[in-house]
Amino acid sequence: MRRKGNALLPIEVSILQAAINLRARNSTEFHGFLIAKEIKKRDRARLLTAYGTLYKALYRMERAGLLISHWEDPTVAASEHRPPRRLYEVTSAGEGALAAAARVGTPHLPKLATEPLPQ
Amino acid sequence: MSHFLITLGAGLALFVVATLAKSFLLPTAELTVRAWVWFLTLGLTSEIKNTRRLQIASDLWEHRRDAVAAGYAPYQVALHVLLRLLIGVPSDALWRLRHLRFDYVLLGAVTALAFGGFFVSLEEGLAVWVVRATVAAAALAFVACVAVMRDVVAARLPFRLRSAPSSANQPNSPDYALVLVTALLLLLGLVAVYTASQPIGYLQYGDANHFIVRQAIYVIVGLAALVYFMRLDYHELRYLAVPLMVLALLGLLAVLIPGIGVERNGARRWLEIGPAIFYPGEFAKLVVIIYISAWLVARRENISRFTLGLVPFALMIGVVGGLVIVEPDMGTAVVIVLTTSTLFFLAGAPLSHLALLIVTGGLVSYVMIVAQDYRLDRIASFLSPQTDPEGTGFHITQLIAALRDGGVTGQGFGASHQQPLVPGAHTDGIFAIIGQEMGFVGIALVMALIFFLVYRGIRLATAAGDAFGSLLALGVTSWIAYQAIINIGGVSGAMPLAATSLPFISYGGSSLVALLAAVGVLLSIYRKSHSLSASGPPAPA
Repeated sequence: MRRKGNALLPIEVSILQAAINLRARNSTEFHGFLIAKEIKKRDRARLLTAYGTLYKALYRMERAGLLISHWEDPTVAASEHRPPRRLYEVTSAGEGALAAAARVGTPHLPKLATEPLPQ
Repeated sequence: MSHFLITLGAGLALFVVATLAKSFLLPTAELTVRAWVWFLTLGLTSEIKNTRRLQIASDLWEHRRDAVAAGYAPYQVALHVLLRLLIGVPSDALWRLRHLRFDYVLLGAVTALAFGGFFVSLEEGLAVWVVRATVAAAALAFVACVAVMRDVVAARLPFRLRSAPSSANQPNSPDYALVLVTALLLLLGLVAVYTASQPIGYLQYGDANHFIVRQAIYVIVGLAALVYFMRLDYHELRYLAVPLMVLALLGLLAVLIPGIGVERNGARRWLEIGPAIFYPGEFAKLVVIIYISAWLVARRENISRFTLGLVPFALMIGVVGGLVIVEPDMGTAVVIVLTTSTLFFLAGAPLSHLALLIVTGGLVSYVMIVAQDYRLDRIASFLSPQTDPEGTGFHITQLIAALRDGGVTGQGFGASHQQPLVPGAHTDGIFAIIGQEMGFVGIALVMALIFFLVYRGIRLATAAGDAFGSLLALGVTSWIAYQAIINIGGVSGAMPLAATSLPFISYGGSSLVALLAAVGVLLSIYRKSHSLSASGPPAPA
């Protein structure tokens, strides 16, 4: 889908909204699979977001300043015998972009126009 | 009974295979995803490559753990993983395109075709097809590089030009790689002109060394121009753009005036000043690049607007191109239009404007072609050279024959018996003579050197300290690339002959001096960009 001006793409809206939902459940940071799972649950989709779509969007959003990321402590991953996670967090710019999108009102944000963002 | 046993055996085998396959489905699916990501990230910087690969590895692990905990069968998870992969392939491809390493594209295309061409050219006649394929691949690769460079250049346009650092800070060393490639091309050109022009020099002037002596003089003059422009701060060219453009236009107008312009073979293109005869059109190529680059930087806010961007640009190019076409010299006009349109695109012009330029250019080209019989003949000979090999197809037939007869290692210097029969053997057709005398090795060397020069120019454009430098570098590089593609493409029959010289190789003083001056501009940009990097990046406007 082509971006119109500075508007968020649907996948970006989904990621930001899912991240805000996770933060409301005390998960300030998220990794790729977690956000894909949250999007699937929120959108009641049958499949998780495709790898290409998801990680391209995360990369793009980080470059745009909507997200910041860092690698988790490798000892944590090693202790759980799993690969290390790239952890993302929504920035204030990301929150602002989501709020702006909600004010404009898009087909992908019908509820945000009436529901305040979770703190 | 035997049929029953066979059927039972087949059924058991299928059951075993299916059972085993179910166990290996998920690992196979995960391996497929990892292999795809590995391939996708080839050639990227370590940071981006490792980040993507590790993210996918983590995702796969988390997905498997989560799915197993939820009670999904391995084959279901495998299917899910494969679907996530397949659906995301278009996004992956677009993401990868954004990180296209132009040098890998160029070098990959050249390497693959060089190796392929070496083997297939062992069979007589296929060397021509190899050259055509190489030209096509090079053109595509260059277009891809231009597309990638657009973001680089457009991102720099808001930057204000910084004042030039003092000469005390400038390093004395030039870009040795660029200097070496240029020197090798000049050397190759001198050898090729020497062998190709001997019969013609003797027949026309009674002196077999007539052309090589002159070419050597042009090289010396050109090297002087190179040194001059290398030592000049290229930022000065921005302020000289208008007077240079006025001079160029006056030169192009002067050649059209009977008594002032020199006419040869039905074309009035040259000016005679004392013993020197030069072609203003060749210098106009460099001047137009300088002028348009300066104009694009000055008009950066209006580039995307129709009346303030496209219209004045089209008018400027129309005037210059029109003066060149009426000489007539369509080849030079095509190079100028292609180069300046590339700059226009790189500076951020909308694709719709570019499409309009292409359509307009196509219509003008059509009108110009049908207006002159010899241009129609060139199209006809390109489409079917064997229809009239003694008439309209003679030129291209002889060129291709010369190219084909060289084989892998050629027939040796001076051994070409085609020289008196190949029109323009020492000028536009010199590539065919190189093919005949030095074989596939020789033409591969010429193409590799030109490719490397273009690659170096693009690298220089990315390292330039400001938009003007980037545009200048890309303009010069585009000029060399397009002219080489048109010449080699025409000689090998990949496109109609367009009477353009092979950069640095063909006989011709004006072309050589203008090109070497352009290389001097590239070297000046290199010197400035390296002195800039020593003192820090420019501050944004």
